[in-house]
Amino acid sequence: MTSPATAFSSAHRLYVKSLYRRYLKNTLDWTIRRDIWRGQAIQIRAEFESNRNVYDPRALAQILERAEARLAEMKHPDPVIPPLAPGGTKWERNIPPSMEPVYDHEANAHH
Amino acid sequence: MYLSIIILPLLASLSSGLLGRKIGTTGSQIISCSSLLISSILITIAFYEVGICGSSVKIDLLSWLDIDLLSISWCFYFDQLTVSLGLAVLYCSTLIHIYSIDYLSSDPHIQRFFSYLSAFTAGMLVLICGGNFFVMFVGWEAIGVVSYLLINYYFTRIQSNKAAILAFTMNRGGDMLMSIGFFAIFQTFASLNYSEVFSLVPYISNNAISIIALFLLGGALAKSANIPLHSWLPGSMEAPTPVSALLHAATLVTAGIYLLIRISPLLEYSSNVLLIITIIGSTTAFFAATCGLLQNDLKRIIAFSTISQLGYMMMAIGLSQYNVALMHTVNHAFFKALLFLGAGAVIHSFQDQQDVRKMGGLINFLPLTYTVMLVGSLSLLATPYLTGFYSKDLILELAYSQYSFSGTYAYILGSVTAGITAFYSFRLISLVFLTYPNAPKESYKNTHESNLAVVLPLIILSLFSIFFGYIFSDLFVGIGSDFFKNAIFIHPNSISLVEAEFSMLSNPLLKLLPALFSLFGMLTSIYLYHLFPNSLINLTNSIPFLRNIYKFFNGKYYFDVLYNQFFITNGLKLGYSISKELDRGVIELLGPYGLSKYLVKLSNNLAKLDTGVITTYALYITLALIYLIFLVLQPVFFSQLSEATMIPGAWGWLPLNTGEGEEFRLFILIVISSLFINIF
Repeated sequence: MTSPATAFSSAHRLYVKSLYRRYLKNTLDWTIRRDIWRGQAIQIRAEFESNRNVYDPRALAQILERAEARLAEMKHPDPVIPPLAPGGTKWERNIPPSMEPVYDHEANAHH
Repeated sequence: MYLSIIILPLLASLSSGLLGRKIGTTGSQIISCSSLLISSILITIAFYEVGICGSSVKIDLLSWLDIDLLSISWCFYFDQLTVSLGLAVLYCSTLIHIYSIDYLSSDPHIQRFFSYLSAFTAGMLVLICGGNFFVMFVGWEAIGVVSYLLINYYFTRIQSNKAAILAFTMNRGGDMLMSIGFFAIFQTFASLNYSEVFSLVPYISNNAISIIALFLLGGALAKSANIPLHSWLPGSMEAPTPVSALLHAATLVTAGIYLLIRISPLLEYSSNVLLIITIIGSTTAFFAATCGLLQNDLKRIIAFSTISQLGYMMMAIGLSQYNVALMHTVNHAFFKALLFLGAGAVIHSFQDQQDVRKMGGLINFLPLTYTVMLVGSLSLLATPYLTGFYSKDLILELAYSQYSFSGTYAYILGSVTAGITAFYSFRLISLVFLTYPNAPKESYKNTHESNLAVVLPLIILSLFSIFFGYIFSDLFVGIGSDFFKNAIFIHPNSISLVEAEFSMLSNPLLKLLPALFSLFGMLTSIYLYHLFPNSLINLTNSIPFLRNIYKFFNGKYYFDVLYNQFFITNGLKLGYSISKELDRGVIELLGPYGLSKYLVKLSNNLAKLDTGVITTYALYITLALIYLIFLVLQPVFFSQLSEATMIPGAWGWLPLNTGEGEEFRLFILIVISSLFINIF
């Protein structure tokens, strides 16, 4: 999610929340220890809170752009992926075989 | 008895694979494990008879190929080298079979798994027991295929598919070089039997031997995952953990090392190749250790440690110390199998989490697993009197005592690598067992030690990791030990055990350097990851350069990116152009496809002549008439022409003599005929 949505829309709220979550996750990937990460998480929250009352769409766009650029610079090369999430170590392991017809022409024959 | 060692795992594999539905999961587990157990007991007896009592066994089963000079038989050969490596292969394999009973208990394809595991063991045994290069190659290819099947065990996972294909193609690349090496051996020695080839080596040109050794080295590099053919090994961690333990500790990766030890008489007569092997081995050891430094996947850290240790083995081979290389191979099999199985026990009991960043504090939940992992790591670090010490430290001492460029290079890189090894091993221990619990509470709730089937192999392997080196070091690498007899050939000029033992006494710092580096690495990692983690976090957070270094090491020197960018893309392009331009281009155009297409086109063109317009027909008749007249009159015309060439000034510009007149006439005829065809 690189381009922010229009300011003051519900999509914008979702976008900022996603950015916040991505910051938290990325910092945890680097920090590893949750007890140390807690302090960093509070800092990130404070930074987001400090811009809560920015109502100028242009200033807001600039702030978000800077935040995205900083996140991209700090991005962890090997992020934590939960085992069962897409890309995780257990993803797609022993998925049950499909009971549907394999080919399209076989599917048509049933109709 | 000796054939049973090979056949029992094969039969176990066949019964699990083909009769899996009949015998059920328990049946396949019982059959596989008991077969392997019997094989292990038999190899112990074989080790006593062949190794300790010194009576090698040769079994010539039957003739396979008999064409002129080429005479190949199904021959198995048990000598000291075979039984020593066979001991590690079968002990580890048996323990891994037992371990898998619990590890894969909830898997829906247990019979298939056991069938693959036993087939792999059988393939490895054929490889090490083969009495000629051909039989060895059968085993070599068998383990190549079965390793593909094992890595791709979870065949529904796209990552497994990719890893398996990468491993298979990269190994095939090495195998291709190796088979060219076999052709070269046959061309030079007119035989593929070990005994005949090795006894003729001193009488053959050095260049020929060097070329053969280089080709065989290509195969060994791919199988033993040394630079530049290493990148398949970390990816193959996609396989279940017992497979990683089997493939990357005792069997698959040691095949390349075995091949090089087996061809020691060849290598001893090609010093250039030995130099190359030393350089590659030392570089691999250092490179892989730095890659493992900052990996976050539990199994990948151990995988890089494997590549690094394989580098040490290559280093020892390059320094002509084959017995030390073999000792390290066997030792490594035990402690690396222990580390992999320990890692599997952690993963299994921790909701299949593999990322070390999501662990921590497990020492209180898994005390036994912590203990065995610590034993494995300490053995890997060459802690004095543990198994790894007797081979790893010796390799470094031997490297120093060569007093050559390659030896010093190996010593420096090897010593630094020892420090890095200590760092990543204790980073793993710190992050998994010691540090603050970083995983969700749910993960800890169900964490508990594994069943007996898992615990038993771990304990047995820990005992081997502690005591094996102490007990067997004098037999394998002791000064004056004649254990290996003719199985290994070390040129008298290359024997440097005495120098290694005594020359470094004058400079104890150099002797202790690897141990000091190890201690330093160990303490640094505990300091950075357990005691004062803030310092490391501040480093990566505030200095972009260090962050880039982290990315570089974590990205494995971007080797995969380079391969994908240059080799894979260009390889695909080359393959595409070969398929398009050569296969479908030249061969198809000249073959039936081109012929049929051309005939259809020709007949269509001829059909177009039939226009139905009378003036066009009149043109055809006129042109045909001119052509006929020309044909009828051309002898007269050309006889005048050839006379005219005699007259200087008239046809002087034509480089004709009487012989060339005929060719010129033919040329004119062809031009006119082609004009006609084009008009049509």
